[in-house]
Amino acid sequence: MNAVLNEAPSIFMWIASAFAVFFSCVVYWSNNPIACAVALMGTLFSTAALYFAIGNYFIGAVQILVYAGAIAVLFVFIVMLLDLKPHKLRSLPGQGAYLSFVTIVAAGLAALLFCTLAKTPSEEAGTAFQLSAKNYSEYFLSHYQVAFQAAGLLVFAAILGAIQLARGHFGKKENT
Amino acid sequence: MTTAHLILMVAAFVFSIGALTFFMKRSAVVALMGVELMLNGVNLILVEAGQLHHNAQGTSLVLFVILVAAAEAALALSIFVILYRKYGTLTLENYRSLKG
Repeated sequence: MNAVLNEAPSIFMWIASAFAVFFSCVVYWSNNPIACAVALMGTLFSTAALYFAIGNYFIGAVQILVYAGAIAVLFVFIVMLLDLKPHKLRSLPGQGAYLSFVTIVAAGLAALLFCTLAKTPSEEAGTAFQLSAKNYSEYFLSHYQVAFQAAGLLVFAAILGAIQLARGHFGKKENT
Repeated sequence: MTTAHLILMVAAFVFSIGALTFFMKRSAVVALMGVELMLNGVNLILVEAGQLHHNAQGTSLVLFVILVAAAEAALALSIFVILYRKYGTLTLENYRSLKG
């Protein structure tokens, strides 16, 4: 098992985890859309801090650049562009049933993850595992070439779709 | 408690809060934020699993998840702008006419 993951959490990890939990709760409980978007950004930054803490610097940097830097800012931009009002963000009725359902799902998921963790082979315990961008890119481009190309096509299709939607021709008759 | 346990608990909690946000919120934009939270929880588990098994599989999958999330967010937010122009609101209850 990885040396860092097998040790007791550091203070930094406790703080990052507490921030991740707190900001995700704010996303749910806040009725202000800007607060929701900023809290989403806070959750993403806290998760990136956890990635840094366990030694996965590459994904931590990607998380900050792509997730927090692009996606969350896009959310803030859309919320400000559309001028969403806080009173329209209230939760749907029948909250109790969903809350109990999600609590059961969370408990089951955590139990399943703990069981999987207990069965993880620990013959490599104590050895440090650092995933640098160099050996990661070697692994990625040798094992996932086709998937990488397919992902590029997906992004290209998404760009074309977003441009077509932004031009605003949907739902309008062409003026000929 | 080890770091692995702590990260698993945070991931399970973030995923569950994301699911709750997706099911409970009236606004389409905030529901999409719930989806992003769920993906974020999954990413945490994938990275930790990759670290535990000393390989880059989990990290590779995380990169794909981030990529798909970026494409999904860009398209979904464009669709929301179109829906806002058409219906004047982003409240999901007002889109029942889309059922056909």
